[in-house]
Amino acid sequence: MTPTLPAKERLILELLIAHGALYGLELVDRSSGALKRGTVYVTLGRMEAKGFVTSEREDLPEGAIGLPRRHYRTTGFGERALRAWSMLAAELRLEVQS
Amino acid sequence: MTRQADGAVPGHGLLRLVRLVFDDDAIDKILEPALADLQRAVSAAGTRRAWVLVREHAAFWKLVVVALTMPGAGAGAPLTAVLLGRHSAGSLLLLVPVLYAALSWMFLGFVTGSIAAGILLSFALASWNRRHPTEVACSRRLTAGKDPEINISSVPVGGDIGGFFFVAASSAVVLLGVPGLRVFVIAAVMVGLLVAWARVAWIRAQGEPYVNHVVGR
Repeated sequence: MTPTLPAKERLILELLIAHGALYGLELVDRSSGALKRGTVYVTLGRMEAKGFVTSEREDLPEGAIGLPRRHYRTTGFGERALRAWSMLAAELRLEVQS
Repeated sequence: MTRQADGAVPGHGLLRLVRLVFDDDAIDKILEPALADLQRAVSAAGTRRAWVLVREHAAFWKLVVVALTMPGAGAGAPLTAVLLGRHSAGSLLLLVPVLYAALSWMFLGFVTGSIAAGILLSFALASWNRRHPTEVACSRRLTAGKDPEINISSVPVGGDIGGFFFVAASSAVVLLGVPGLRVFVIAAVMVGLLVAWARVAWIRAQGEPYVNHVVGR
C-alpha cells in the first residue's frame, strides 16, 4: 500500500522534526489550533501504524498515581516521507506557476 | 502530578470502561495517553477544575467515538466491525437497536399518520355500519364463534364503500409517511377520473344504460 501524507500528519512530522520528541498535548499546543485534543491520538496511532512515528511511555516517578503519557518521535521513514512530499509539492507548485 | 487519593484521580473509571470495548493496543496507543492528558490538565486546573473537567471529558469522548467508528483510526473501529456483522449474533443484537434509534425519527410521520388514519377509518366504518347495518363490514362467509368485523381480512374490500374507505385510508397513510408521493397520487386520481369519465361516455355513446355497480349495491 502506498503511504499517504495528509496535512495533519505532515504538520505532526514537521513539529516533531522541529522540536524533537513531544507528548500528544504538546503537539496540540504547538499546532496553533490545527490539531485537536479529541483526535490527535487517533492521528498519531495511524501514523505509528504507517511507520512515520514511534512512541514510548514516559517513566513515572515512584508513587505516582496518574497514567503515563506517550512520547512521540519521528522515524527515518517518516522524515523521508515528509522530505519526498515537500519536494513533490515544490515541483508541482513550480509546474503550476510556469 | 500532585499525589491524591486514588479515588480522586479522574480517568480511572473511564479507563475501566473503555477496556471493556477496546483491545490492548488501542488502550495503550490511543486512549491511555488521552486519559493521561486529562489527568494532568485537571490536576493543573486549580480553581477552574469544573470547567477543565467538562472540556477534557468532551475531548475524551470525542476520541472514543472516532476510535469506535472510524476504520483505520488505529483502534480497529470495534463498533463499526460489530455493525458490519463481523461478530455474528453480537452484531445483530447491536444492529437492531442502533438501526431503530437511527431511523425511528424518519417513520414518526408514518406512525402518527397510521394511528390517525386508523382511528378515522374505524369511526367511518362504524358510522357506515350503523346506517347500513346489513351491508358493510360483515363477512359473507360468517362462521360461528368468530367476529369478522375485527379481522381486516374478512372485510370485503372490493368495489364497495368498504373498499373505498380502505383505499382512501391506505393512501392517506402512505402520503403522510412519504410526502414525495403526493404529486404521483394526485396525478393518478386525475387520470383515474378521466378514464372513468371516458368509460361512462363510451358506454352511453353505445346506447346502453350506464349502471354504477358500486352505488347500486
